[in-house]
Amino acid sequence: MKETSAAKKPSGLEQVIGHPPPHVADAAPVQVSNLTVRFDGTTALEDVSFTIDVPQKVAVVGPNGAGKTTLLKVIAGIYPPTAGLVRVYGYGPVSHICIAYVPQRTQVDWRFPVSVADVVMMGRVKKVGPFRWPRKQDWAIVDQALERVGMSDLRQRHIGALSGGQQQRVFLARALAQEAEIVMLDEPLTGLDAPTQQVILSLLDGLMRDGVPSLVATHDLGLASEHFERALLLNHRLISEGRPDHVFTPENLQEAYQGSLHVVSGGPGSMVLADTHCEGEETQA
Amino acid sequence: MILLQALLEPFSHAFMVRALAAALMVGIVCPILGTYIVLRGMAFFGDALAHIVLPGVVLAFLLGWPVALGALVAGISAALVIGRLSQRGRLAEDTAIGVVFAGAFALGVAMLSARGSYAVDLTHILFGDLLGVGPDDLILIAGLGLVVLLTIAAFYKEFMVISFDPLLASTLRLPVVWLRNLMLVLLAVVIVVSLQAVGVALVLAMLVTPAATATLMTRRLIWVMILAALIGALSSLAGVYLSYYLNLASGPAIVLAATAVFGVVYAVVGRKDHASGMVLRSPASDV
Repeated sequence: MKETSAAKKPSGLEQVIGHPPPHVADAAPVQVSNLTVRFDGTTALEDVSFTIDVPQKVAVVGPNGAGKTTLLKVIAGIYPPTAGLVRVYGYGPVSHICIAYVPQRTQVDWRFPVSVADVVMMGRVKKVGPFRWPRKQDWAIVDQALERVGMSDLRQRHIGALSGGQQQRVFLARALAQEAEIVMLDEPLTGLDAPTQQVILSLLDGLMRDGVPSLVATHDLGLASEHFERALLLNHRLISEGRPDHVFTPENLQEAYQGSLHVVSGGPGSMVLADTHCEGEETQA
Repeated sequence: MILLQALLEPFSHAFMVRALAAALMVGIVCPILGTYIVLRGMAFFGDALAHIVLPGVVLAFLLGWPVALGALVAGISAALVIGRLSQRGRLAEDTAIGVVFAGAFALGVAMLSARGSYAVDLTHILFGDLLGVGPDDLILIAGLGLVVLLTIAAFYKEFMVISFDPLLASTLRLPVVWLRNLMLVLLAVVIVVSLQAVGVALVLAMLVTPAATATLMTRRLIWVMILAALIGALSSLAGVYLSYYLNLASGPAIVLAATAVFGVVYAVVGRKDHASGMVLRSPASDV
């Protein structure tokens, strides 16, 4: 396997001009081996290894500060690993321009003067290329993406004037316009009502059918076990991964959540009450 | 006819024509770059950079070099040094900038105070000397201004992405640090362009006020820039007339005109925004 991310670092202008996204035929969408990430001495992730070898929806679950966001950002190539190896379709993340990252809603400046269509067009900035303005075909791709997430009617609307679910759909449309081959979403379902969550999840299903896997950080064990093909249970270390019903055992959850989790056993299943953040959250597993 | 005469009369003097041309250039270039400055919350940085330029200006002035050259060198190097300092360090960014800003400004004033014509020179540097713009100055202002406008046109969408969503910029593998430094260099150049028109103390107003006014009026970046440039140009024109007929200092007159436009727009639009139910999302509790 050729190492490209360690190759000569391109200069600023070369980076604007761009490079083709590399691929290895039949390589796994995501391969993470012995990944460790530290910031200023604190360890965010420790010796994490897993592979996503088919397009799936993968829930990344764990308590606050478990390193969920860090994991997504390292796979997206936003942070470098301190140690270990991350491969996306066989290459280092930073050699891809088709990894989409949907930030937490609280991280976005919703007052910024851009319309829905403008935000989606931002996904194409690299493809449009330097020193140019978007062409007709770029706007056509933006329109298709908005159509697909059902936001065509609101294309001229200011982004601050959208509901939470609409905001997520716009960012998914941006990932489509980016021609994303893998999508990371940081807490996309938090704070949405159940029908809106369903809309987002079915959009992710659509991506999966097109061969695009998604990694979704979430607090919600119920959603993770009901709607995802795969789950990663994280608390700095990878505690368990695989089918959600195999991952969310009382033992694993106890290990991940420690004191902040209450397991009530009895009957055919066991009820798990996870209380991991200030709002509190009760979930059946 | 009398009105027309009154409008045209100032420009029977060549120095007034040059003053107006320089003021218009500043009135257009500052607000366009200033739009990014406002959206990125870099107003304090811009003000600091304008003051940090002072020792370079004074040194060039004392050595008999072109003043713009001294300002450009001081501004660009300060922009890049602060850009680097603020990325990592034990001090908060605004603290670090504050220390450098005040120190450099004091150094510039101290150097200048060693000269006899201290008060006049200092006034010109602080508040501009629009009526003193010579033909060479005008060429420099127009040339640098044009370079800034072309650079912004070339990197408009990249600057938009790094301002709105740095994480997207990162996943698109845009050179975030390089683009940010480019923007800081543009800021230094714009400050140099504005020195003669409004001076170091008032550059901030031309960067921030028209852009802030425009963000109240429209919700698309390109229109914010276009409106900001129109407001800036209008303020420059009004300022030049005010200065001619009321015998006011021209830099402050331009800034006052821009501030007046802001006041009117804020009074009209600032409230309507709330009434129309366009409530901006407050940051929800971080879950």
